[in-house]
Amino acid sequence: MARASDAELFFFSPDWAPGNLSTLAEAADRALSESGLGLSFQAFARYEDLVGQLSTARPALVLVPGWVAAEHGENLQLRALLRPTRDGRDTYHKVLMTTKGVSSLAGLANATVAAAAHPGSIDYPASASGIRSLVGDGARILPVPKDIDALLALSFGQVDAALVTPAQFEILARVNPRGTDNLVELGRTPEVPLPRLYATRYIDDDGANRLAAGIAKLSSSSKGRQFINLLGFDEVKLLEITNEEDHVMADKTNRNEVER
Amino acid sequence: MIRSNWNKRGQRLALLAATTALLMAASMALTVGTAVAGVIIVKSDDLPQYTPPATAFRQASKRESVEVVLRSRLDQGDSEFLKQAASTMQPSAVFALGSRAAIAAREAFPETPLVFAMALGWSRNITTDGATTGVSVELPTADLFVRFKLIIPGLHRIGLITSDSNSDTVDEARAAASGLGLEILHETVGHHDEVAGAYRRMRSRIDALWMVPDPVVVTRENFDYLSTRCRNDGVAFLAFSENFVKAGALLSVAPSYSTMGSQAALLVEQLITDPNNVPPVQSPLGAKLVVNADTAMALGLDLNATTIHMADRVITPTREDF
Repeated sequence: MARASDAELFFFSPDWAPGNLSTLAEAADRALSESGLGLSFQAFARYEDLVGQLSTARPALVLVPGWVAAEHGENLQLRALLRPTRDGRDTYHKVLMTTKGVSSLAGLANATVAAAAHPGSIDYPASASGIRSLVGDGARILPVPKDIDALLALSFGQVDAALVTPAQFEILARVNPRGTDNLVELGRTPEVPLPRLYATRYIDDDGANRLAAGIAKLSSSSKGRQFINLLGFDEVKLLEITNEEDHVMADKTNRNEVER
Repeated sequence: MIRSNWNKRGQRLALLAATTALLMAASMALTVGTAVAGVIIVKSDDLPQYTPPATAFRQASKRESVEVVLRSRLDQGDSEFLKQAASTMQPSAVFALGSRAAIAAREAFPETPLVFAMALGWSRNITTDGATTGVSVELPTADLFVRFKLIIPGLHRIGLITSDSNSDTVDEARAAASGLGLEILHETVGHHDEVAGAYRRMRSRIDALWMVPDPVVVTRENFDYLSTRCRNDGVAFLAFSENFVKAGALLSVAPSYSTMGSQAALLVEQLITDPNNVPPVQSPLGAKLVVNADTAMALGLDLNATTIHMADRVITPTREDF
């Protein structure tokens, strides 16, 4: 059982691609050091690396999408602790933008689609459910660092479509209305739950709750807020768990969302 | 389909020196003496900046690959050694990092699909006849300008100081600016001593100064002068390298090397599956944005959550990155 004073937090979120994982790690070190939680942070770009580490390391906490929790929930005895939100919501979707000349998804059968993702994780379930459900297996998926890269590639005619958050499209449209006039939304992914923070079997409930409370307060400091933002969230909220069934977050809701 | 604005132009150069050769640096699961199909990743040198595109390529490509690094030696030419090093392989494609690697690969494997990246001045050095394509190093100017506007919403007039040798850059800047509601104010200098005067003539009429890689303009003294003056004058100083941002420029935008590797992986697949339909050389599709929060604060720019999300690195007032 890990002591809460030297616990480790694993992070994996293939649908959210901060440009540089080392930057995220640096931000985490600063925020967690300032918080005094005694928690260290490890981000993974590739699912295989996460799985490999889960088989040998003993992380106290994992911050992962629902489909990962579903995959490892039983073995790690995951208990959900925190619910991150972005723009006040704990789910998100992406829109498939293309140019006005493309009127149906069938028109993108052999297209190149730019999407924010880590290069090695584009085919994992959450990413795949978003992209493949829209454009099928024939499309070539090009992972780029951020939504804005995908949008610019589309607006400059370098790819056929871009999978992005609606908010990022609106930002670009404000700055470059002429460049986005020709872009249209062709489809959207199902609502996908944001990753959640889970305690593992390597930490007891008291220690896990103490860490969760500390993480939930990170947003009150500048460094903590920067870290939370780089994870792709605006804030993180403690989950109010009412029964054991809710507590096990290898939950079917998440799994159904990504498998739809 | 991927398109590019780049023209196919350029002449093949002879191999740079007869006094260079290759060393096999690393290999993955190769059995000597057995023909192996896969992709050869050839690096011009053992440079750290080649690692991100090579790694991203391997992650994005489903094909097995081996890696060869070129290094200087006295007794063997590049292509000769590459042939020797790859004598047990039947490469289905080559991914070349750097011009030297691309030239050597094309000579060693004239019929094999070749995709290059990280090749400065590729259009002068690499012939794109046959099944050859690649990813250029330079971000399109319009792409850069949109990113500038995302960070500086009030941007309208951009100052640009260049030597005569950079007239292409000025033409491209003017063309890109016109489509974005921007205006370029340009000064030409013949000597690095003239840069300060050129800046003083334009400073009251510009919102930002865009520094491009021009050896006449970019000297240590000029950078220090422009960085300080821009800050005092409320002019956003836009650079092309993270090091300049650390030294006081507002921001830099540079291509994402990892994304180049992902692009190359797609291009390799296209060349292998349809070698008669060679895609044109692409522009890089991802960028790394670095912002100096201290300078942004001095300019009165709001570094909100949206800006931070767009930035790959924000250098803080305490000189600590996050």
